[in-house]
Amino acid sequence: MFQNLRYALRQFRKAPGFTAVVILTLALGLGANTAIFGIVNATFLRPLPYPEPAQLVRVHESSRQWPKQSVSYPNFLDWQQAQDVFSALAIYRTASAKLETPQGAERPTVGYVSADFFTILGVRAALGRDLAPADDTEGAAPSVWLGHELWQRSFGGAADVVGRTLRLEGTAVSVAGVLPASFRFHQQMDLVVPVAPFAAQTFLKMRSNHNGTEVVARLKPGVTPEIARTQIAAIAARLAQDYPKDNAGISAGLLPLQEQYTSGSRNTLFLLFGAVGMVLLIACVNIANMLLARAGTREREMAIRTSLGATRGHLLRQLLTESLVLAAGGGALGLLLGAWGCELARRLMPWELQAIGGGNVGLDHRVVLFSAALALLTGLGFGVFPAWRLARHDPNDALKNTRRFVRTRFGRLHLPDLLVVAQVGLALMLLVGAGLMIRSLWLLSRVPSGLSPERVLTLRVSPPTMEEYRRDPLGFARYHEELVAAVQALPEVESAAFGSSLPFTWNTSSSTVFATDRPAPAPENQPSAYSHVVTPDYFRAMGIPLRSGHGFDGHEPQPDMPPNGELTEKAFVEIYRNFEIQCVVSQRLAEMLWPGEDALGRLLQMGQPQMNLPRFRIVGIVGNTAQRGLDQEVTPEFYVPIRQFPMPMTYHLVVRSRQDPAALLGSVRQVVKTVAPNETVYDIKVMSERIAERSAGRRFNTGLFAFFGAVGLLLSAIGIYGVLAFNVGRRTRKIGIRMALGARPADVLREILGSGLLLVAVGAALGSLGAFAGAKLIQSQLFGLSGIDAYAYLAAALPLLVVAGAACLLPARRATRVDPLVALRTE
Amino acid sequence: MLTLRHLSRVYPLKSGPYFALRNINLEIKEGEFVSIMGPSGSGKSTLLHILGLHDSEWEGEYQFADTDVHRLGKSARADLQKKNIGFIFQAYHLIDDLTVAENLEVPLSYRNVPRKERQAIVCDTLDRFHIVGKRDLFPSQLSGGQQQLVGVARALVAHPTLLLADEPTGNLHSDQGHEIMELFRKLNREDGVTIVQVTHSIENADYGSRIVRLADGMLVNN
Repeated sequence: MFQNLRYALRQFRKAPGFTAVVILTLALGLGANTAIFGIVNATFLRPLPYPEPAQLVRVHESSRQWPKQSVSYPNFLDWQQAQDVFSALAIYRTASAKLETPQGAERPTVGYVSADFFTILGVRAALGRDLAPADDTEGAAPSVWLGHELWQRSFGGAADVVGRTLRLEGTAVSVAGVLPASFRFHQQMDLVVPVAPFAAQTFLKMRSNHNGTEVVARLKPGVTPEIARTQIAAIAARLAQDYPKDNAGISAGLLPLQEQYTSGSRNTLFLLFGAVGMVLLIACVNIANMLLARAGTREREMAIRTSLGATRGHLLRQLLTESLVLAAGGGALGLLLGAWGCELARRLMPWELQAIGGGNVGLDHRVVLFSAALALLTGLGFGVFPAWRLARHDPNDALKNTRRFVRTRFGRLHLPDLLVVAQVGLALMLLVGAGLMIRSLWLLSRVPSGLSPERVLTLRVSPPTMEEYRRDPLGFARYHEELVAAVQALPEVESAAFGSSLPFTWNTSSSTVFATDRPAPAPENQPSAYSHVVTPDYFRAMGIPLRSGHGFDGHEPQPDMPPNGELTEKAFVEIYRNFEIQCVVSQRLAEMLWPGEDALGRLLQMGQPQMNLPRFRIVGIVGNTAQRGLDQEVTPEFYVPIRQFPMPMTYHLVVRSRQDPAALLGSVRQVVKTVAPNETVYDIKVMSERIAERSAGRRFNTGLFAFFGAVGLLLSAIGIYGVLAFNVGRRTRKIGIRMALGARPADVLREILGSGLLLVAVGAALGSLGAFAGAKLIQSQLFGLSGIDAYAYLAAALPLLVVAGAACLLPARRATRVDPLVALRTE
Repeated sequence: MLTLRHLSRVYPLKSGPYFALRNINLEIKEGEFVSIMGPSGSGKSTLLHILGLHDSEWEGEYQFADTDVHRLGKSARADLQKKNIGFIFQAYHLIDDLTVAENLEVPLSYRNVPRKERQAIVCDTLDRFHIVGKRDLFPSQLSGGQQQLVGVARALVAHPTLLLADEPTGNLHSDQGHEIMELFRKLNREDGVTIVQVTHSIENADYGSRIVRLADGMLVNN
């Protein structure tokens, strides 16, 4: 073994070019696989960072429109009482809120959680006390647990922070503890507060409110997800009977927490795994071909060894040792490339993957083991056949000193030729995949967004606290109107407005609606529409075209809103009992509620008829927007003026500039500082950037596919060149004889080029068939086209033919320069 | 030592069977030094490779010492070859990537001789053939005669009872050829090694005790 290893290393030292090409080829293939496995490992295979993670589940509600819906807080409380399959059940939601710290005001993300949240996740406070059931009761003095990072950043890691009183959204909260640095949750939580003390002011006590609240639970030992699912569905069915007004058509289900995190990205990642698998396959085919070509030059050595007593086993062991040494070299370099790829992926990967652990992508023992195992397998894979062929070769020819290369043949084709065909086919499949995805992106870029994002700056300004809102709800509207008026006064601003549900963000709210002049549909059939609370110039600022009627002018009458009121469903009903809110609807909503009729002047209402929620009189109809993304179906929307419907939310300020929108930021900051000195500006992005972000995942996948396609193309070109160059070398004597007999260089060029291009053509034809079959697998990544797209196939075939043609041309040109005298003498 | 009876070697070609050897009957006794001669294509090398058990596609009977080779399977033939036969080639056939010492070590490594023992045997052999100074040189660094000397040493390193040589001086100039032939005579007379060589040279054949002539695959003079 040691001797074989020594000989193998000496072989490679003697052929540094060959060794370098093999190791680099292998490293490319293995590195790509290591990087993708690193992502899969971090996102799918690594268990969630909690004790006994298999027992953790997400419990959700389901409706016809939303199969996995947020859970209503009152329903959650009923589940807690009725169930006996979970050892604990917790509800949580996150929202940004204004926190006043010694460093000033900031807007961290607050986790509102119920009592058992940390018990379920097995998290204990690093400082102070744990969250107790008494903290999570209505009327309890609000306590807060600071996240480690916030504690370090804003409190300098002071141990005496416990017991201090802070102000969160204007409410005094007492610091009860600090969370450990190791605490991670898929939704960011800079600090955590019990949910019950805040339930009323965040509308959570309304059973019909499913506003971003999710439930995590831990299964009792021995209880399977199926058993738990059955029970929770039965409880939901009972609640639907008990509360038909709010719960009709609402069921419940659950899924393992790990699956909840990963299901959205699974297909994408396994698709990418397929792509890098093909790259590795191409690399292996390439190396096998190189080894086969090299085997032709080693037949003599193997024959001598056989004559000296080597058995086939001896030869196989020696040759496989050589392959494995190459694999080890390629594996080591591949691991380095993989680590670099992981680093790159961590920076470029879309947020969906980041959120499920993509931030931890890197090498760990599992990735290293995977890479080593893959290197070993590929070493055996590409080494076995050439070794087997050499070991079984009859030594007589070589010993008799003939210089005949014996090659494995299938009919008229040699094995290396077949391998080139396979390589070209695989590369074309990858390139067609990339072509289809690039075409999808192009088609997507041509989908109208329904707005004009050019020169639009968007940002958020922290609103007044909930306490201030309760004191004066109309003042909340006034605050936004004054701020936007000050921004509009800037000379470089064309128009500006506030809006609550900015398209292409996740910060949206929706509500069920119905037309008051039509029979009310069954609750489960009631449509849901995105609601936007806006200031007057919103449509102009966003570039949303007005189709008919008019927008808002800032003079809409206001309802009477009593100060210090409770934000309950009942209070809403009272305020808006005799008050109509003006409303602008999207064409989609108008067509949905009044198909074929004019919607102007009609009334629509939120919720369900018996709930008596606010009514909206339609004064205008605007174009649809791609609220959820360019690749999503257009959703119905309605817009209401903030002065009539001042909902306590965080609004986006939308500013259409006369110049570069990014250059506007300084002036806007100055205005905010002047008008609202206590508020902060955050979440700043130009609108086109937000649109681009929504297709970031698609672009990421397309970029990777295109990269892997290019690598496949490069490897194939090396393979084609290698085989043809070897063929030319092998046929030098034959070419010499032909030329001596009168063949012109052009004849030789035609012959060599023709034989190479024939292989490419056969490979391309087979690859096209493979790509057609494989396109079904990437259908989920495609937009607006099927697996058959002439442009994509053309775009894939063209670079392949050009590169393959060049790879054929070089050895063909060399063949034309063969000197018949020299060629015949060498043989 | 070895006996061939009615041995034939036929190559099936598209144009019909080609008889490389026909009905060969030959006996070689232990301690003999036999030279096989004949024109090109007469089947000399084919016969030598059959004797050396490199070729197994022949018909007839072949008895080596007390063993019926024609009854042996592939692996038993390989064992018989490893134990008894050394081979010398016209083109030396040293392994280019190995040093002289490593080339000598190769046959021993295939005979499962322990590493330390192998090194001792190699040292003895280098000493015996006066090539100690060349032990770390590669074949390309040696003259033709030196390479063939290493070839002979390698053939003898595992102490075979039969030494087969295929035109051993064919690539050497006459002085080097004489040295090799003298070495063969010494090995045959002093060490009792049975030698069978293929040669075109009458002068080289005279070093041996008997000449066997082949023509068109047939034994014409024994």
